[in-house]
Amino acid sequence: MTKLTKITAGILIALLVLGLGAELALGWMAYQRLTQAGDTLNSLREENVSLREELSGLHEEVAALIAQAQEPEDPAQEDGVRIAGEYMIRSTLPISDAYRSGDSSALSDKGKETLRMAADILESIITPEMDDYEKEEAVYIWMTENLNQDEGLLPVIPRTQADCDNPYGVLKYHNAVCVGYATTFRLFMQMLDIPCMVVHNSECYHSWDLVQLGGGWYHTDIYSDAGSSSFMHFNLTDSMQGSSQSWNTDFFPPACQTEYCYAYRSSVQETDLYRIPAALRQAIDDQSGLMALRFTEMDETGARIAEMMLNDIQNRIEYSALSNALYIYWNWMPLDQGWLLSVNLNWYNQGEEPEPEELPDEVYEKIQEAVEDAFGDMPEGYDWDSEEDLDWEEAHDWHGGYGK
Amino acid sequence: MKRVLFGLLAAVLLLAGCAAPITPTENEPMVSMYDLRTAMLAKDPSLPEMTAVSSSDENAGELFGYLSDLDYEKVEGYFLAYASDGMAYEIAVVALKDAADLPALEASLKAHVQGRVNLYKTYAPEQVAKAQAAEIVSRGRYAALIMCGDQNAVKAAFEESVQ
Repeated sequence: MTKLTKITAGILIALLVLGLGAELALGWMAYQRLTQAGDTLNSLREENVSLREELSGLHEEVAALIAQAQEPEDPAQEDGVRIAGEYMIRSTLPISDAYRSGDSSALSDKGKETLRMAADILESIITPEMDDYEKEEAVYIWMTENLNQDEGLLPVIPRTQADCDNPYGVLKYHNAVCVGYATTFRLFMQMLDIPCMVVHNSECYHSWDLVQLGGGWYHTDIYSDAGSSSFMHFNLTDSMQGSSQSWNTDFFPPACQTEYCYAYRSSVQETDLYRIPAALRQAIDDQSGLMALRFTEMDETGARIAEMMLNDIQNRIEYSALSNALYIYWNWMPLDQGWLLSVNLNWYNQGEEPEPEELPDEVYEKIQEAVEDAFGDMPEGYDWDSEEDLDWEEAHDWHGGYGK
Repeated sequence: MKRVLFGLLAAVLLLAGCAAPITPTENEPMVSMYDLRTAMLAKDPSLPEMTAVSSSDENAGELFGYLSDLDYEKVEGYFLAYASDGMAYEIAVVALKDAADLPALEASLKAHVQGRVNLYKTYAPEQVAKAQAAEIVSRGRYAALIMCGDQNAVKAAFEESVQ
């Protein structure tokens, strides 16, 4: 090997070693960079996940805000309000004005017919000696007994029946949603010169009336008493109505008086708290719609005791045979002296058909004989309560004869 | 040379980053709302006569408003089955275009259930307990509202169908 060859080989080996070294160094650096990049990527991913979580939280907040903003508005007005997105509260004044003035010339044909139907009803139920309370009571009884609740409002997508939300359709077809009851009642009251307003709840899915008697206002919700005339929702105070509904109390007048409040008028003075269960039991046995007791004295302990008894009774009802028929709720109203306890008894299966009477034994025998005569070649039905296994072959033997 | 190498490495890393699943992946095709409704409703024999509407209806967007106040533009499909007589039986499923809208959808379904509870308090108190027991379950970009007798069976059918 010449010297030159040796030098060249040395240089090549050196270059190779250097190259390998450089490659290793570069590889190591690349590895380090890759690891760093991987870490960065992981941290970016983590950041992304946390950002997503944050975004999801923000989404929830925004959704809540949107839901709040999109809640049906509660307009501070009586008429022109749409209930459950379907039923419009419309003024009834043109018809009641025509009734009072005796001039119906400005009314449409529909208005004239409504006026005639309403006037005929008033003529049949109102007498001259009645005071305003008695007139209101007579109208309440006629409406709860003669009109039917239109269930069209209950389904998720309400079904609109013809004119069930105005006096024309209500008086013609005797079928009404809450708006129909409320506007028809107001029409009657206005025809009788008794001030009356149609109230809608804050969520705009229900409406009822405020009627003025002797200077005070009272809530009357005939739709909720339809079919029962229980007076459960007849002339309530704000605190009573407020136990199940909320409404614009800035716009509608307060109802705080008790003079014509039905619960107050039918309440019994009681001194012994422990009489509540017996009184309520009596009301249930009588299938009453309301039980009301007045207590002159009631301290915090007394109220707790009463609540415990009422809750216990409610639980017992819930786990009894009455659970599908009765729902109770109660309300305490402060009086000038003491408290009024009113318990509403909501009977909701009263309209159901009664159980049919048991048939005499000879009828059952005749039934069996007639069936046996015609179908005796087929086996009797399998007793599903029997412990024995069903013999399907035997059970289907009849099939062999059928169609042959 | 190093710069070139690092430049190449950076480019490779960037490309790898682009391929990573940071951005939303493409949605799986939506399950048939008709099949889903049939499967879910079949699981509860106690259901009364039910009326059903869905994204296949001509006025689907308008009808959707009875179930949820979510912008219908965000919905890929839905069905809503409810008791024809208005009692507390409802089964609904909504498929979203983007799963990120799920919290808003769930919130709107909760608001819907609360609205039904309030309505029953006034008009059918005996239905309140059933409405209050309604469940909202979600999976992926689907949310279901289940208010019926055998909710567990219906829920299982939903979860099985939208896996």
